[in-house]
Amino acid sequence: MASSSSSSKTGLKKMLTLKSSDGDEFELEESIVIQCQTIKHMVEDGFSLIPLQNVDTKTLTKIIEYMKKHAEKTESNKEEIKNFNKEFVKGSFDDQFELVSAANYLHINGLMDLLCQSIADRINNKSVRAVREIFNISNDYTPDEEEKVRDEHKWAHEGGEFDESLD
Amino acid sequence: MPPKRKENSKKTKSRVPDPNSYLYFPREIISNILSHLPVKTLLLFRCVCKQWRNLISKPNFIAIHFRHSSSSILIETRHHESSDHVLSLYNQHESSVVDELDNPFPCFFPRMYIVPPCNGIVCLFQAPWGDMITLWNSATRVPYWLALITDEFGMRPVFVYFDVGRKVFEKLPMLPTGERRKQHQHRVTLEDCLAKDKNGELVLFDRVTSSVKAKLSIDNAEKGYYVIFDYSESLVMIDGTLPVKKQDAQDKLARKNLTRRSWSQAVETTSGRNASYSSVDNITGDIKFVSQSILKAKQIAGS
Repeated sequence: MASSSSSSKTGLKKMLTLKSSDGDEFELEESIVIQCQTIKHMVEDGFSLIPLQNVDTKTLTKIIEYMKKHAEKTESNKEEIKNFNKEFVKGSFDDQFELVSAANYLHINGLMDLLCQSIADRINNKSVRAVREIFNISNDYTPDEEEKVRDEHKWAHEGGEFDESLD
Repeated sequence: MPPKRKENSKKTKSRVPDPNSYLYFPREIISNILSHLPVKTLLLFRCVCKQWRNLISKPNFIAIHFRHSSSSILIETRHHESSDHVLSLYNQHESSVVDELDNPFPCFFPRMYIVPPCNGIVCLFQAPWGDMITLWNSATRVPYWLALITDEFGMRPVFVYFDVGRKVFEKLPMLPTGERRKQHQHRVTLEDCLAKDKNGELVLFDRVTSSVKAKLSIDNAEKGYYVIFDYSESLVMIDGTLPVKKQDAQDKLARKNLTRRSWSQAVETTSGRNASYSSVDNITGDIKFVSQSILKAKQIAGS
């Protein structure tokens, strides 16, 4: 009721429902949700209940938080958005990987860039071994091959300590 | 015995893929993340796995990476008596430290000039008629190679740059030759300019606010000449650093194949000595040949 009375005040505010893979439903204004290209296309096709099978409730809650904040973006609150972004990317690698997968699936370009930049910053000084662990990549080089690849840019492996931690 | 077995089982366990693994991370996400990293880190991460190594060498990845690359300032200084020159890089965002670059010309060249960078590649040449023309990527530390081009006007030195998107060499407009540049010359970048204060120190100015943004300390710059450029690092010619066996480039058959290509340019691999010619077309396939000239140039530089 509350939402319908507010929409009558401000004219027509179209509402959409997003449904997470856990079955939870979130009702949001269309103007917020269309930051997401995937949903925008579904809205254009006339959908108002949008099932998101690849996004669980926890991730979707975070993403809605992001979209709501960024829908408020104006010239004057740049600093506030910046701080929000800074807080938003705190969290474990696993959380960020969940988010980045969802952002990629939903085509939210701003969020994609934010997360990729943040992950890049965090792995920038990591050792090769730590990066393999973080991304769960198994080393498919033979020791000889790896040695060869290393020798091609030896200088990049020298100088300074690399961070072995996984967080 | 038991401890050993334990160790083994631990090892295999960590290799078994975890069901929640990110191996299924779409390639585009990995590509997007990696494109925000500096060149040095990417060269290191080539060792992570084969997929990453391949990705980091892909032309479209190199192009995306270059767009994300942050801008720094490349400074060429020269001592006025010795003509000894130094190339340094100053990254405004990281610190006020000026990094001296490994100069691709280790020996003395009295009249070496620099052409503004393009796609991360710097062109160094010796005036007036480029008896040494060098394309150099300071970020990947790709050593230099020398080029003379043969076209409808015969053999002549032309400045070329590598177009990342189209993967071809493009000619740069010619600089006026034979004209000596004045000492104390400075060039102005988009926002900043470089000047000397009364103590002879180089300072970086913000032209809009007229404030000193940074003092740059470069040893040999007290007297003499300096030029600055905007510079963004790139991975261009990353494959050019692959080691190539010497005999490969001397292989006549390989050379014949190269000269058969349609749009041909001759590349002189050395400055006259050991000159060997071959043609290079739309680069990608032939980048290994280029690296042969790198090896030769290295030998000369080392000798």
